[in-house]
Amino acid sequence: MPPTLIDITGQWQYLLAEMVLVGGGIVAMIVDLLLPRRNKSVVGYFSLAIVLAAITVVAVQMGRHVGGYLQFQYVGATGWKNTVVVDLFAQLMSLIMLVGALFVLVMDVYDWRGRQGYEGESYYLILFATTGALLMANSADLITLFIGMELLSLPSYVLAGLHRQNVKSNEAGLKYFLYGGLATAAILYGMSFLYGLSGTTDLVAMPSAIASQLPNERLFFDIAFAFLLLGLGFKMAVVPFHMWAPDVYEGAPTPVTAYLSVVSKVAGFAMATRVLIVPFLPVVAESTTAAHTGLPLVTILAIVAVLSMLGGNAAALRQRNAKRLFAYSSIAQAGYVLVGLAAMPGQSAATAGSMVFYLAVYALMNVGAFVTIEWVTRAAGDESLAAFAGLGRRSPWMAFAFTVCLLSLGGFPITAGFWGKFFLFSFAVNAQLSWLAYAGMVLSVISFVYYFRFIRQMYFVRPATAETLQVDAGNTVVLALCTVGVLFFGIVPNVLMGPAQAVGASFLSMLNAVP
Amino acid sequence: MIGLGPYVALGAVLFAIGAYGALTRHNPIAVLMCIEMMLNAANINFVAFSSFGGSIDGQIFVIFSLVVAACEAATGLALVLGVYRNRDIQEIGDMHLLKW
Amino acid sequence: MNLLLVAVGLPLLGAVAGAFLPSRSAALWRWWGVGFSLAALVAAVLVAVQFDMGQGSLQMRLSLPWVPLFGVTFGVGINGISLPLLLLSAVVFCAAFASFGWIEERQKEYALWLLVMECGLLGLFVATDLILFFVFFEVVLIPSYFLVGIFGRGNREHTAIKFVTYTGVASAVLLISFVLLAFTAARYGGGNLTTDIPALTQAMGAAEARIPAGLQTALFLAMALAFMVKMPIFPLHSWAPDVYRDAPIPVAAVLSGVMSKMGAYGILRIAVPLLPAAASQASWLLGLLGVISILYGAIAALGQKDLRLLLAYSSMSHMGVLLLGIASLNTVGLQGAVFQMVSHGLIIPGLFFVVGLIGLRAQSYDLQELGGLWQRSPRLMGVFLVLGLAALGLPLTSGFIAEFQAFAGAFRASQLQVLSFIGVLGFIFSASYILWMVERTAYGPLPPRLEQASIRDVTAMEWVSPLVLVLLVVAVGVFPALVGTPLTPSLGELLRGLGG
Repeated sequence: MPPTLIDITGQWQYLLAEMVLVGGGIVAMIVDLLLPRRNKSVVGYFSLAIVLAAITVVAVQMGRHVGGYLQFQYVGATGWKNTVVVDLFAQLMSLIMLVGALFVLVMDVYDWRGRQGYEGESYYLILFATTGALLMANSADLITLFIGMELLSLPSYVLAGLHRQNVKSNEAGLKYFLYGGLATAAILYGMSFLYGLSGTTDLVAMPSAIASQLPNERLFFDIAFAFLLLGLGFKMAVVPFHMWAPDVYEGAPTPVTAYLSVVSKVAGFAMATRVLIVPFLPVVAESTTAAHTGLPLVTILAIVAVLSMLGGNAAALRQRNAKRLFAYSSIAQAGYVLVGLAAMPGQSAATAGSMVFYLAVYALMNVGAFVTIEWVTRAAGDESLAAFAGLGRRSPWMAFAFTVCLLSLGGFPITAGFWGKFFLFSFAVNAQLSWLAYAGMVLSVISFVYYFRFIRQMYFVRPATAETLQVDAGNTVVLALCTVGVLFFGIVPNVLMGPAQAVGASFLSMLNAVP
Repeated sequence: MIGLGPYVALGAVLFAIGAYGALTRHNPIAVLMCIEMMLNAANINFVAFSSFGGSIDGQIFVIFSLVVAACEAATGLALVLGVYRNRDIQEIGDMHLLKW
Repeated sequence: MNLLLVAVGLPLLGAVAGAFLPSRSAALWRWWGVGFSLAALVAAVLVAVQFDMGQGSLQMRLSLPWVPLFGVTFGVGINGISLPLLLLSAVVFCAAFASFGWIEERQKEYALWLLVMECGLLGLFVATDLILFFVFFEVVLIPSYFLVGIFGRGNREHTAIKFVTYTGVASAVLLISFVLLAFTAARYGGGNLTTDIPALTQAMGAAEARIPAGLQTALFLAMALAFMVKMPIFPLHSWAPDVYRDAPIPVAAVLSGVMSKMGAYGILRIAVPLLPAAASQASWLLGLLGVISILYGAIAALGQKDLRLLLAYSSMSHMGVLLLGIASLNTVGLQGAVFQMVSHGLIIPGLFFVVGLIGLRAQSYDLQELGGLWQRSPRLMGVFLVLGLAALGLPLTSGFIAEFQAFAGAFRASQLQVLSFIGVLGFIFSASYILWMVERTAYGPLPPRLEQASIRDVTAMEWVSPLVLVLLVVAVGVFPALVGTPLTPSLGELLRGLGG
């Protein structure tokens, strides 16, 4: 419920998690300057503690059913404006991203062992980027959303290029920056039209303001939608806006790749839901009337989804580099989530829940996969699939965990990935998009081929050496948590789908609550 | 009295020039400048919509986006320098370690 | 504790518990597998003992909410159609474990994956919820990949991934069709969303008149085709020869004997009762594909030199008979179909075991390099002959009742009369290839290559799997009531739903 009166103390706690992260980031920055070169991992552990604190904040707020809008008022003006919203959608998305960031930090601490470079920077840049990611899920205003997006993007560019001695990493950083910059410009341009049409940057007030402009300005809605889709398509890495992803995923340090594929992607979808779906719901509703003259927005989203699933899966078949393969894999995974996005205008309430479920599961299984990739490729000094040869004999439990994550990514039952796809595609069926559900499910079969290539290497091929892999405690815990989570949510999906279902309701209240 | 239309048209032209440049230029710094031009096209839109639509939000947005653009330029130049320092590269096309 | 869950859970327990044991002794894993599959068999037999033969509806029902949002339940239950198949699966898996000798390394992985597969197959036959059914349907796939890919021969890795993707496409179509069906029932029937098969059957029955006929037919065809991939039925069969040729013998036995029944069972248990109107409209298509499979399989089998490929095509031909029986949509035909499931489920694994033993002795599956084995291994060849004749449909074997009834049913269905006349021609071909197969292996002179080799007759452990299957084939042939008694009331219920 939005507060009718401003309550400063009550309000600022809506930003508490972000404040913890930013504050922690600044402290980490200072500590990093004071520490000698050999002890930079202290910054990493400190950052871990900060992310844990932020998780606690969000979890406690969820437990206490804290929710509402952070509002402000220009001096001399009347009427409150929303900037930040805390609803169940934002909280669950924040939790997913925070847990993702936590796991990535654990991976990062391990990755820096025995390496020289900008170790401390990588930790606090992750903290700052995560702040931005959280803001993207929490914002109720275009300005906040834009700031959040850039706060995520700018550190990400640097993170991708952080191994300065490594030319591949340099290239990854620069390419990510150039493409990301283009996407930012497109999004800002699209936002300017959204603002021009509605006369406000307040996302809560926007749908009704937009509804009143329909159908006179339909052309400008389509322009706004097109540019937003273009920019967000880049951020989410969906076909045909995906070309940066394989290069960046391959060149960036493995933990950063994991970060991009999990946290950035989830944030992209959170933002897409806020700005690409909710403001356009009245436009879509108008599209179903006979008189409309504009673009079929839902069909466009559906086509982008199909292209992503097809393009991502097909291109992944040709890859031999594990990280590059996972870039295409996550393009395809984004396609599945886009199916949910396309189904949302028809059936918004619960569909948002299925998206949250899938993204949560995706975070688990992808992090689990990247932990294994990190270990294996570091030990072998080789990023090709052949590095996984005979892992089933060398390290049976690791191979098992990786297999579970892969099967989940492929959507096999009794893993959570199955239910994720089931929910997303079921809502597509419910939204009269059966063809999309059929297409998505059939295209996902292509992914079996390349996920099973890893499994083939691990179990069918004899290992080159018999020695077991060196592993560290932190990542072992992460991998175990991911695997158990994937299996647990695969057996009792309702534990996660129950709360996720409620997302829709809280999410729609945003539509109705126009202060 | 000039109406809203010409301002939006100016924005569109600027954006188009920027996008064309960003996609065709081969020098990373030139691309960066083109991106800045695209951002400013959006800024013109915001100011125009704001002054014709009556709400101040758009102008506030522009201030934020200018700050962000500055940060972006700083980051971008640092990344370009990073690449230049390790390898003798003048053009994007020279970056071919990763399939472009 | 629900007995069905015990039967399904025991193999899974064996697989999970086994994962924590060290993998040193090969013999341990043989007895581990035999033990858990025997325990599951005992549970299945207890289910049969407690089963009320006079009742046609589901028994031993257990239904727990699983995903309430979509009405998905964790539901199990058993009726007269699934009971014989449950017992069949349990028996075939015991036989597969008993014939462990083929596996020379990595026995632990082999035993555990086979147990997982057993859990999937037993679960499939007792699931009473569409989604749970699908879960078990897919659970079978992953062990198959490992079992074929690790323990197979020839181009096994390629075969394994071909199997997974080929049937994966079918599964994908199946899942979305299930979902679409549930939503359609809820939308037109006005009830709650549910994927519970009995509830859904009722809802579909109530809403049937309002659902567009085109949608019904499309849904039925999508499901039926997806199920046909698993059987396999022409033209969706191209994975099967590869898999039956390259899989290790016990796995080929399980896949051809039990897994292929998943598809037929799905058509009979899900597609037909849920969409009866579409089923009777499309039955000519099922009959046509069935007849094509009968003839294509039989003719292709005639041209094979590899014994295992021959069995693969012969299996396809038998599946055609099964589909023809289902397509008749009358009591006799459906009875024939279920008998064929059981009969083929006993015969083909038996044949695979025998062929495997032949291959073990002769180091070849090539018919041109075999011959005269009766001189050296009379007991083995005796079993081979009996199973071959049963596959031909000789009276007093299960094959006779099955094929006779399936065809008798099809003759009675007006739209299938011509087709079934053509289908009968298949018998000529199958008589030729089976007799040819037995003749080329058992009789004639022993090829010089095998003269020197010391070929012994079967040992007790090798003997046990095919022998048990032969005895069951004869038992069902002599006492058809073993299958028929529980079956009749359930088929009656099914046909009432069809309005016939």
